[in-house]
Amino acid sequence: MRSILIGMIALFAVSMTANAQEVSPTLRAIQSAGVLKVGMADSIPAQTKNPATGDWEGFNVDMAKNLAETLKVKLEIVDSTWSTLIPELMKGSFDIVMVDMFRTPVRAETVVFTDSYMITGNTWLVRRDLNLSNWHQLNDPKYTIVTIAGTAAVAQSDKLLPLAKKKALVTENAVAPHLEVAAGRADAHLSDFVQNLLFIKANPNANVKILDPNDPIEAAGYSYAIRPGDYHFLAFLNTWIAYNTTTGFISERKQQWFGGK
Amino acid sequence: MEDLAARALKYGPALLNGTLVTLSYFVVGSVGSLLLALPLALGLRTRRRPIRYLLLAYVEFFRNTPLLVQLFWLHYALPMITGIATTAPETAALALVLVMTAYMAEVYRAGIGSVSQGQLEAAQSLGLSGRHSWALLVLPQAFRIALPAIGTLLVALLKATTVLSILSVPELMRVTTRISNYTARPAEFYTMTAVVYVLLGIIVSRCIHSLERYLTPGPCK
Amino acid sequence: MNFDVSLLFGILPELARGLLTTLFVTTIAFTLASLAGLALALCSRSKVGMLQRTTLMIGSVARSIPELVAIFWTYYCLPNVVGLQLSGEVCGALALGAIGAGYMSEIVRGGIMAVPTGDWEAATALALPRWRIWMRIVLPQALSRMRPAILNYFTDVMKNSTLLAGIGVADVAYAAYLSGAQDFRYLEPLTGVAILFFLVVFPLSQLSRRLSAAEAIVTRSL
Repeated sequence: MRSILIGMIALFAVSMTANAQEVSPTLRAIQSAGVLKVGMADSIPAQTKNPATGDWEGFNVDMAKNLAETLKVKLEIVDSTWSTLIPELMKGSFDIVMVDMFRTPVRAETVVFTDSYMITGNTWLVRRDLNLSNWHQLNDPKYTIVTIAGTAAVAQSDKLLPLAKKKALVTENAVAPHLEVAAGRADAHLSDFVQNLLFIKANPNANVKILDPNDPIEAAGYSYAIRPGDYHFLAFLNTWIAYNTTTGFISERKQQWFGGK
Repeated sequence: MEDLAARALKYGPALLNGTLVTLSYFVVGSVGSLLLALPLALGLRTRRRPIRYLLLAYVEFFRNTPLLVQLFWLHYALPMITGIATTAPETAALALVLVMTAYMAEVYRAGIGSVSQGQLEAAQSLGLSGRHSWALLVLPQAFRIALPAIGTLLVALLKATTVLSILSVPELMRVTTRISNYTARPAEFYTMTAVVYVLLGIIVSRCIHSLERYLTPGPCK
Repeated sequence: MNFDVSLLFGILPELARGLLTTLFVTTIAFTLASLAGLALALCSRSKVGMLQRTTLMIGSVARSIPELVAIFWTYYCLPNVVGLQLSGEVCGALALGAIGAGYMSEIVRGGIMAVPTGDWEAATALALPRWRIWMRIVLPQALSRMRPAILNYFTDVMKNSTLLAGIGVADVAYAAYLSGAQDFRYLEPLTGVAILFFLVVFPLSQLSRRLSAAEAIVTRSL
């Protein structure tokens, strides 16, 4: 009897340690520190720091708050720039990057991406004086399409308009491509519908218009990024994303920030 | 026009904070380099080759590469090599001091070199020891001769703080970019910021000019 | 995250192509700056008080404008003012040239003022015509004094030209950022930029040092 008891205790102890080894080290670190550190860089309307109040606001901010609540820890958003998001992640300044980042195979060699959490609608911002009935007509070498290097729009522009000329800008200035179109240096820019609207509202005299506003181009593949190695953390995040998709949290937040389609 | 005033009011505090951050990095960079450049300049004149070459290598590295690259290196490559990780403000301050000291030391060297040999010899013949003649004679004159160049460097330092934005340091340029992204009105805010930088630069130049005039021996002395 | 040396060597050719654009724009900007700076410097020596003060003020303001802001302005606002469509390279050269004029005017002024007044007086006493005083006596001396500062400033313009990547000029920094935006590895391309810069700038600064040292020997022995 005693040996069975000892055997059961031993088995129980071994199973406890085995479990302890499998829990994600990142999750354990987050929970023992009591704070989830999220890296973000400005991109309207997904996430942006309101310069007047200093608070972060946006779709991904709501998602980050939800994630922190789920883990029962505080949320700390670490301010970063697009070019330093990943280097900072690898350096350990934060645990996860939650921005509207487009996942590509070449990037996945450096970081680990979660499943895609959202599809948004991109629309074409074109010069107002261009007479086009639909965006397919832009597929012509005489048109120049401007994009910000590294965004999903680059891949989409290349795929949808293979014949048009392309120009990529490297800048933290999110409205630089809009300004290019307005100045007449480029003919079209594919960008988030809300961001295009915002630009037109702020610059009503700019020589731009949105083409086919009711027919947005689907942009998929936005994912969150974490450091390689912690696969339990990745599995946890994917479960969390799937759960929020099922409960409708994501589509409700998307409705609020990106507007209905 | 009222819109403009309303926007200026709404974002004024943020811009002011940005300006204060810029100024604090300016102070750290200028004080640090003004002090450290002197031993460096003297070290560059030493006869001992290993030290001189080492110091020269440091100076040449920081003078011949862009600040942006230096920032990236100090922030991401240095931890890989030495294991010392610095926070963004620490890296920014360190980079500014390192690069400004390299430039400032060259300016000090030129100033020291232009104090004529004859004066040193005269001082020695009057019985002043080496160290005394340096402290009382060479350095004050060298400093005065170097002042215009120092002034130019300080204004350059002010402008260099804009590069710190890449590390998310909340200085004026970063705040301005953020506001212009948020409001989609780049022209207004970049103009305001340009004016601020020009004003600050002119203030710095004027201060140096006044210092120059104060130190220049005039008829009363 | 480890440093990927093979990535560094892989991007160097692209970066080198961008470097050609960098050198091109830098040279144009520097030439504009020199010409305008020379004009400003000569005007600043004018006996007309108004002209002198205005010129000095222009120089001061030009030196205080951050390069990034000037580049942004010429790119977005100047075309509307002038009514012409200007490319990124042209705008960049204009912006850097305008700021450079402020710096070059100081350098030229300093060079001219470093020529001893005794030389001026002696030349005038010998009844030499003004243009000869300038060409044979003042400028050669001024130029040799200015040389280190001129070379220094050329390298500064080159470093500032990396800001033009933001307005679409395909220079060396642009190539580095493009690569970084695709695979998130910025350290390797930027290191490549540093190496290429060093390879171009270091020989120039060494040349300047050698020339100055040689001259120092010559003047010491006089």
